[in-house]
Amino acid sequence: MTDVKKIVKRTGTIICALVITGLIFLFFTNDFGLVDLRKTSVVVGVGLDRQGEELTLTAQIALPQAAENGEKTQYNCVTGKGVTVAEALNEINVRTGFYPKLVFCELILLGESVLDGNLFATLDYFYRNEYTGLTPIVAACEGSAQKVLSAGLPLGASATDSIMRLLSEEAERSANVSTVNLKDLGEHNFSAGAFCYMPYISFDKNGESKDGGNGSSQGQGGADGGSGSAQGQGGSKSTEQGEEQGFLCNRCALFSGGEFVGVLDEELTFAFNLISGNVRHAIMKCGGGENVRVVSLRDCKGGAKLTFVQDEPVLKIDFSAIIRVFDGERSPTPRTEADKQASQEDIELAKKRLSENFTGVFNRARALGCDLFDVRGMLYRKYNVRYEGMKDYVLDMVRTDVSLNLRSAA
Amino acid sequence: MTRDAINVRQICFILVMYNACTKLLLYPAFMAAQTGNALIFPALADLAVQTAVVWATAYLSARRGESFFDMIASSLGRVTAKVIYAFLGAYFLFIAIVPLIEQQNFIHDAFYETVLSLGMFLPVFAFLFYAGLKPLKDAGAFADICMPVFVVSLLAIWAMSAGQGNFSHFMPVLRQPLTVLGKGALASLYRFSEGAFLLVFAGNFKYKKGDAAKLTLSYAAGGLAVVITMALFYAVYGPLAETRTFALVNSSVFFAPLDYLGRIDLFAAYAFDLVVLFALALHVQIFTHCMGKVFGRTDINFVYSAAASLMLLAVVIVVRNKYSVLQQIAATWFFIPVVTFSYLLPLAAWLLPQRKAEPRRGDGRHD
Repeated sequence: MTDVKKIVKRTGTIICALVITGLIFLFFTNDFGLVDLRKTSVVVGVGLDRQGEELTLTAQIALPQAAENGEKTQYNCVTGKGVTVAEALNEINVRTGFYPKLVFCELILLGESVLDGNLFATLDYFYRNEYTGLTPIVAACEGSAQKVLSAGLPLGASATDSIMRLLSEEAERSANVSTVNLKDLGEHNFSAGAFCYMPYISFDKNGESKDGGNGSSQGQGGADGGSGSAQGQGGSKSTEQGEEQGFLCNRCALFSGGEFVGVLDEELTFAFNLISGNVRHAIMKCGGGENVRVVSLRDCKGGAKLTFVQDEPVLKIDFSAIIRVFDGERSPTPRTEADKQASQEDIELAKKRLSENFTGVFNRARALGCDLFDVRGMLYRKYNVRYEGMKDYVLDMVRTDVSLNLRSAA
Repeated sequence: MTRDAINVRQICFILVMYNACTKLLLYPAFMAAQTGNALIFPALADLAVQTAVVWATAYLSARRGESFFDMIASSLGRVTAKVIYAFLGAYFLFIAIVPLIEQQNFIHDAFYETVLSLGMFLPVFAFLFYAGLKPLKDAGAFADICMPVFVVSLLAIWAMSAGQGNFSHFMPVLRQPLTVLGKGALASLYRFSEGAFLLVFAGNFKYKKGDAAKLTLSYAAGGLAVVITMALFYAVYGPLAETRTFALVNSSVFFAPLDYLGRIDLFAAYAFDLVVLFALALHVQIFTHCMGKVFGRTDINFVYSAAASLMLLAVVIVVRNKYSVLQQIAATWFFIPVVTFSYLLPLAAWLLPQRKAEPRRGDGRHD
């Protein structure tokens, strides 16, 4: 009897411990807060547009559908309006019955109208929302974000998917896009430099979106895509009307103190990406006329640092890469490994273009009032004793010193 | 030595992990808001002072070999000892308030997207009540179980965070005025209260040569774990650090494989959070232990434990939507009781004359 009691007591304790452990695990893993998938929606991307005081939020939501050949995802766009993002999201809830969960949101697309106001006042919701995190990629676009998100783009199952491919890490490594997420934006803006930048998506001249309002597209993940060119990232599509619809992500919108100040063109964006990005392999055209070359830049290492030469601030821009000729307009010869090696002339042409563009991107940003190379931030961090005295005019007085080290591929 | 003895190893574990885990919820963001990129320096200052107190208490325990209750009773009388233990018990509940509210906010904000009812947090109090029924010896067993969980989860979070940081955020180093750093250290002093834990453990473990050093180093290691986590958190977020409330679930979020695997880092956060739960339970266990001494009865531990759990529940109900007010009050005033019980009391224990006679028996099961 005593043994039975002992066994019961021991077993009871173990069962009790297991139940408590299980309950605690369920509690901490949110399984008590079970979510009915039919009553929520997975937002993969949001677009923001402004009309006067009112903000229009377009949420691209994924709706998993059962299909014979595996799972199929349908994407729909829903819109909500409000003075702030939170109010607009609430309106979506009111109008659709869906409570949009932003935990899977990958993209925040800002329409042209949003760029007029302070960026961080608009994005405040995302910085306050602990659950969403600061991981979504942020981009600005020409025209309306709603139109871009509603458009069916060719490189993915949805517009968000297409844009995310174009702004992917791989594209960033080819120096074609200046991808940033919410964290990067805030980090730059709240540093001493008070600057930030983001990719600027524009339609090409034939690519004005004809769609308006809500739209939908559907697809089965894994669509082919991803393309790059010497001129940058882009995509295009033939619409039902047979009209070419295309867009480009190879420009860069600049901000100073959270205010939009201008857009860098493709060449300057490319140059900026070479210096600031983690570039592995970039394609660049240099020279002109008879001497045009398309070269590849590998193992790129770039950076800018502030130094003082006799009390004069100097922004030293360093860039090194291994250069290789891809093609040119020289008369064709039988291809050998030696032909792919860059000659001194090729290197000089590349150096000339890079040097011009590196200086050009700094001057262009400075003219727009954007401390794109974080000169003030470097002054604050490295030369803090000079910061208070120089912070207001260091950007105007700093000169650039470009140092290039291009080596031909062996 | 008492029959409620804890292994020195277990106390070391308690000092390492409970020291760290209760400080890693909101403390990094709080310090980032207080002192910017110098956040680790006030933390190091607080840690250094409290480590000295821990060493002093550990060394005192080694020299005296008797419980703190007996030390007081033999020199100041049993009534004084009971009064001090009553205050000490209340103090352990008091210092559990901030981590408990932080734990609640952490679960609600980090693991749930929508605002939850208080009812969702009630199982925690059931657990605290259950844990409070267990003697101090079981707190050691809990520590043995929690230590590997703590180490693995913290290492996982560090591994996922380390590559995402930009350590130039720490430049310029120490450019903040000393007054800012001093205020930061004072505002966070109440979080470093482990000296009082060792007072309670005194006489409840078998001391061997070198154990004081082990205990002190364990405490310092726990503190350094806090400092490393804070440094990684600030390196990842820089000026945005103060806007990210919970370092644990935010530091690792930019780890590239999470894009493909989902938020697997949250498993580490869940595991870590369970350790926090056991750390909170230790406060209730110590309260029960102290009340056992005060009333001389351990057969009604369920009453003490229920009282402790209900008091904490009442506090949670009152302050659950007023955390910023609580934080402000804590940063301004909580250092007074903490300095009294976790700094001055352990040091004052050195002034107690060593007893000449054997202590009386029968003051409860913990004797």
